[in-house]
Amino acid sequence: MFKKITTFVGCALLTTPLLANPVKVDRKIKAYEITKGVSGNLNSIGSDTLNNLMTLWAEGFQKKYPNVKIQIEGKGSSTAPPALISGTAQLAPMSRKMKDKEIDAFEKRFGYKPTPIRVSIDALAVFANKSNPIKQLSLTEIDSIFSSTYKRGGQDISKWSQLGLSRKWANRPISLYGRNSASGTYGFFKKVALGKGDFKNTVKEQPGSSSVIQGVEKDIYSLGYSGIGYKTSGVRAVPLSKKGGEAYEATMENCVSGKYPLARFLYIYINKRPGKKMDKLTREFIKFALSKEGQEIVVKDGYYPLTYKIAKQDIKLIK
Amino acid sequence: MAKAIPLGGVFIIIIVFGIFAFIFSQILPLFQKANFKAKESFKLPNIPALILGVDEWSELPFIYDKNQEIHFFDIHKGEFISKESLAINHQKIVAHSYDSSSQTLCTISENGIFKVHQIEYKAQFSENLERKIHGSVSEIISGNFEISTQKILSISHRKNEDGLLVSIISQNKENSSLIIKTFEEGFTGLGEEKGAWTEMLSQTITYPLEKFDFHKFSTSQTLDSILIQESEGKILHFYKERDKFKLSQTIIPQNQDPFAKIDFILGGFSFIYSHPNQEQIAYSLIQTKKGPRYIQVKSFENLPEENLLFTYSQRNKSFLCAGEKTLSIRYYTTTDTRWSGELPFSIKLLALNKKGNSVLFLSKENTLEIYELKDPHPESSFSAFFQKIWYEGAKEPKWTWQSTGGSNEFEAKLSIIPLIFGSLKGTLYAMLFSIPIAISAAIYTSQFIHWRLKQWIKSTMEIMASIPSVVLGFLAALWLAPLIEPFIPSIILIALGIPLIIFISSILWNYAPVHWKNNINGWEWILLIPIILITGKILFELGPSFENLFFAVKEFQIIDVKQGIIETLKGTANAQKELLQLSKLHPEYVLTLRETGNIVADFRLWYSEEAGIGAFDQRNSLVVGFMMGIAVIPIIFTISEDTLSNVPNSLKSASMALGASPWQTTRRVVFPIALAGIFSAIMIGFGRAIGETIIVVMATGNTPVLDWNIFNGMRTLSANIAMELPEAPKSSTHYRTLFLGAFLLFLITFIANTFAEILRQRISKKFKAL
Repeated sequence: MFKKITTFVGCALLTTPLLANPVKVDRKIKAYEITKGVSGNLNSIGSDTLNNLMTLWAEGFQKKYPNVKIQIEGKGSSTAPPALISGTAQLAPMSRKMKDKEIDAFEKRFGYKPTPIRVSIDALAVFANKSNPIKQLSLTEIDSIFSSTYKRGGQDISKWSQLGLSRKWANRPISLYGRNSASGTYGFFKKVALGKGDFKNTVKEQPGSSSVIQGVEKDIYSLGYSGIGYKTSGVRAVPLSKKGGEAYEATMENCVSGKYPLARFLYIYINKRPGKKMDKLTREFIKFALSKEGQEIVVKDGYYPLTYKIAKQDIKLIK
Repeated sequence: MAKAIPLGGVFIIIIVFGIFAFIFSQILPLFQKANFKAKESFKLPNIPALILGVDEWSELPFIYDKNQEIHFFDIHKGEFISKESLAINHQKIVAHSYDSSSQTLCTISENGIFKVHQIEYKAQFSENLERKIHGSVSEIISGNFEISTQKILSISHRKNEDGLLVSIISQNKENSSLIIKTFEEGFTGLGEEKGAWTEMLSQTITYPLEKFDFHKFSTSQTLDSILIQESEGKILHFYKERDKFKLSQTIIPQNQDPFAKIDFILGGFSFIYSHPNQEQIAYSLIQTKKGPRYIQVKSFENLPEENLLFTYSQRNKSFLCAGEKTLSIRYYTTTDTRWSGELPFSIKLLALNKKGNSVLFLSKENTLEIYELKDPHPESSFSAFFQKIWYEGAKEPKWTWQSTGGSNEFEAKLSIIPLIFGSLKGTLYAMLFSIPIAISAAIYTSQFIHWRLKQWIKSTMEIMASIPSVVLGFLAALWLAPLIEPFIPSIILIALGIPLIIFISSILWNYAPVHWKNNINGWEWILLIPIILITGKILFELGPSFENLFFAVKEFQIIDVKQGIIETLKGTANAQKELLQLSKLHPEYVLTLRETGNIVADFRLWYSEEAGIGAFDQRNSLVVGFMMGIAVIPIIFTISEDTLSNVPNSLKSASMALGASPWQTTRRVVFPIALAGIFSAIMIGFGRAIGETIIVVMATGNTPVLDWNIFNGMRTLSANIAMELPEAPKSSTHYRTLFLGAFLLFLITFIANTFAEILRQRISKKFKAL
C-alpha cells in the first residue's frame, strides 16, 4: 500500500509533459551571465500553475549561486498579492494579472504599483480522459458545460450526448474538475472561457493543478481545466475554437498567433520602487528566468517560452 | 500543586474566551455601514461645466465645459494647472458622452463628425516617493456618421479591453434612427502592441416615428446591449448576435417614463432604472431559451428627489445616486443602502474615483467638494450571508457560495447556507456509518468478548484513531472513490446483507448445544468470520445481477403519430422530462412514449437518469461518509466501551443471579446505565466529524451544492476555511466572512454539545440511585 502511495506522490510532483513537436527557445534570447555578490534568501509565494517552474528555476539559479536559498510555496495566484504586500515574498508568481483591488491594496501600503514580469506562455487547456473520443470544443460549449450563467449564449450542457458523443458515452453526465478559487487559472478561466460568468456548483474544486489532472485520469467521464504544463499521458488536451468552426491544438504557434483562445502569460510580480535600483538577488533571479537557460527550463516543464521581443521588453522593467 | 490545577483550568477558560473574542472582533466590522465625510472644498471660477472626472488617486480631477475645454484641477495646489481644447474648427458640439470606466470622452458635431478622446493619468515619483500626477488628453479615434437630413439627439459610447462602440440616435420628421459603429484594435500577436483601430460594424436601424419615437439611450460596458427609451417610456433592448444588433426585447417598466434614468453598473450585466419618488428597480441580463433578456430582479428604496445623478463604483457593485442635495450609496447585490444623507450644497455634477474611496461634487455654487468614502465591506450584510439572492445572470434567487473571481466585475456570492448544509450533510453520512458499528462493537467488546482479547482490541482501536486524516483523505480520493464507482450495487447488497446475516447467525447460535456455547465462550466471533467472508463474496458477485434486476435503464422512443420516431433516449425520468419539453415546444405533435425493450444495467446511469434524484459523481458523500466514519469510529468506540465496562459488576451479578441471560443483562441493566456515557461518545464523534477538514477537502469535490443526494459531494465550513484562507487578504470581506464561517461552526458544535450535555445529565440523574 505504502509503495502505491509514494508512487502517487511522485506522480504529483514530477508530471512529465509529453511534447508533440519540440518547442525551441528564440535564438536571440541571450544566455545568462553570472555576476558577483549574489547571495541571500528569496521567498516565492503564489501560483500553483507556476510551482514546478519556479522550483526548476530555483534549482538552476542555485547551481549558479550556491549561496542563495530559495523557498517556494504555491497555493494559488490569489495568495501572491497578500504575500508581496506583507513582504513575506520577494517573488509573487501569478497565472493571471493582478486585479485592480489587489493593486489598490499594494499601492496603499507602498505608494506605487507592483511590477509584472511576463515569464512564460501557457495554454490553459481543457483536459479529457485519454479514452475520450471528443474531437473539439468551442468556448461557447465550454461555457455551457462549466457555467450556470451561459454568458456566451449557449444552453446548459450536462451530458456527453449533447456534445455529440454516442454509445456508452451518450447518457453519462459530464463530471467536472476545476481549481479552487485561490487559483489564477480559476480566475482566468472564469473571465475568458465563461465570459465573466459563474461556475456551476457541481464543478469539483481541487487544491492543485495536479489533482485536477489526477481527477480526470481516474474519472473517465470527466472534463477538467489546468495549465498545459501539468499534462500527463493519462489525459488529452482538447483542441479549442472560439465560436465553433476550426479548432486549434494548444501549441506554441497557435498561442502566439492568438488562434488558441485560452493562451495567456504567466507572470512574476515584484515590488520595485520607482527610481531606485532593485535589490540584486531578485533582479538576478528575474534575469535568469528571462535568459536562455531560464526559457529552456520553461520548455522542459511543458510551457512555452517567451518571444525575444517580450523578453527584451520585460527585462527593461527591472533595470 | 492543589492550587495549580484550578489555575490551569481558569487559564484554559480565559484562552477559550480569548479565541472567541478574537473571532468576534474579526466578524464585527462586517456589519458596519459606510463612513462618508467631507475632506476638502475649493472655490472655483465660474465654468459652464458638463462633465466632472477624476483620476484614481483623486488628486487631479478634470472638468469638461461647454467651450470644449478640459481643465485639470490640482488638489494639492488648489488651482487649475492646465487646460486642453478639443474644439474642431469651431464646429458646434451637439452631444457628448463620458465613459468613466475607460475615462474616454466622445463628442459629436452637428454634421456628424465624432471624436473619442482618452483622458490619461500617469503617476511619477520623486526620490522620496512623492507622487505627482500628470493628466493628458489624446484623440484615439474619429470618424463620421452619415446623417443627411437627420438631427442628432444624443450619443453614447463605451470602450473596454475588446473594443469601442459609438452610437447615436437621430431623427427627422418621419423616422428615428439608431446608428451604431464598433471598432477594434488589430491583434498582432500575443503580448504585442495593439494595431490600429479598424471599423468592425456600421449599422443603421430605423423605425417610423409612429412606431417608436427614440428619446435617449445607453450602452452596456460589454458592448453588446443598447437600451433605448422611447417617448412613451418603453425600453427597447438591442442585442448583438452574430455581429448584428437586433431588437430583441421591449421592456415595459411599471411606471413608464421617458425621463427615467437608465444606468448600467460595473460589468454592464445589470442596469438600474431610477425614477424620482419611486423605488429604484434593477434589471439583469439573463440567458433564457429565447436568448439573453433583461429581467426585473430586485428593487431598492425610494429615491426622494428629482434631478438625479448617477455614478457607479469601478471596484464592486455599489452605485451612487444624488438628488438636488441628497446622496444615497447603494449596493446592488444586497439592495442595501450603505449611506444616505443630505449635503450642505446643491449638486451639479458627481464623480467617484476608480479606487472608490473619494467622491467629488461640483456644486451649483461653483465649489468643488471632496468627500472621503470608507466602505471596506459593502458586499456583506445579513441578507448576503443567509438569504436567497438573485445574483447577476442567475435564473432565480439562490443561496450561492462563490467568493472570488478573476476580474474586477466579479460579484461576490457569500451565502453561508450551502456551507452549513455541507457540514451537516458530511457529518450525517459519517455518523450514519459510524454510530451503529462503533456502538455495537463497544457493547460486544465490553460484555461478551474473551477478556484476553479485549485489551488487544482496545489498543488496536486506539492506533486506528491515530491514523492521520490526510492519509484517509488521500486514500478516499485516489483509491477508494474510483475503486468503488463500478461496484455500487454490490456495496448496497453488502451493506444490507452482512448485518442481516450476522443477525440470523446469532439467532441460530441460540439453538446450538450448550456445551458448544460453554467451550467457545468469548470467541464466538471467530465463527462469524468465515460466514461474513463467504456472504460478502457471494453478495459481491451477486452485485451485477442485482444491478440487472433493479437498476436497469430502459430505452424509450418518443413517437409522433405522423412523424414517427422523433428521439431515442434512456431513462424513464429522463424520457418523461423530454416528452414534456417537446410537447411544450411543439404543440402540433401528438407525442407518446414507447419502450424499445433495450435495457442497460448500470447503476450510475440508473441513478442519474431513472431515479431522478441527481447526478452520480465519483467523489461523493458515500466515500466521504465512509472515510470520515473510519476517523470517528475509534473515538465513539473507545469512550462507549469505557463507560460500558465501568458499569459496576455488582449490578451485573445481581441481574445474572436473578436468572437474566447475559444479553438481557446487557440490554436492561448495563446499556441504560451506560447510556449517558455513550451519548457523550456520540457527541464527541459528532464534534470530530463536523470539524473534520482534510478528508473532506481531498475526497469531495468541495462543491457547494444544496441537496442530500448521497452520490454527490459537499463543501463544508471547515474545508472552505482551509481552502480559502490563504488567498483572502487580511481584513478583507472575504477574510472576515471565513471567520464568520468559523464562528458558525463553533456555534453549531456549542449548541449541539450543550444540548447533549443537558440530555446526558438528565439520563445520569435518572440512574443516579443505582
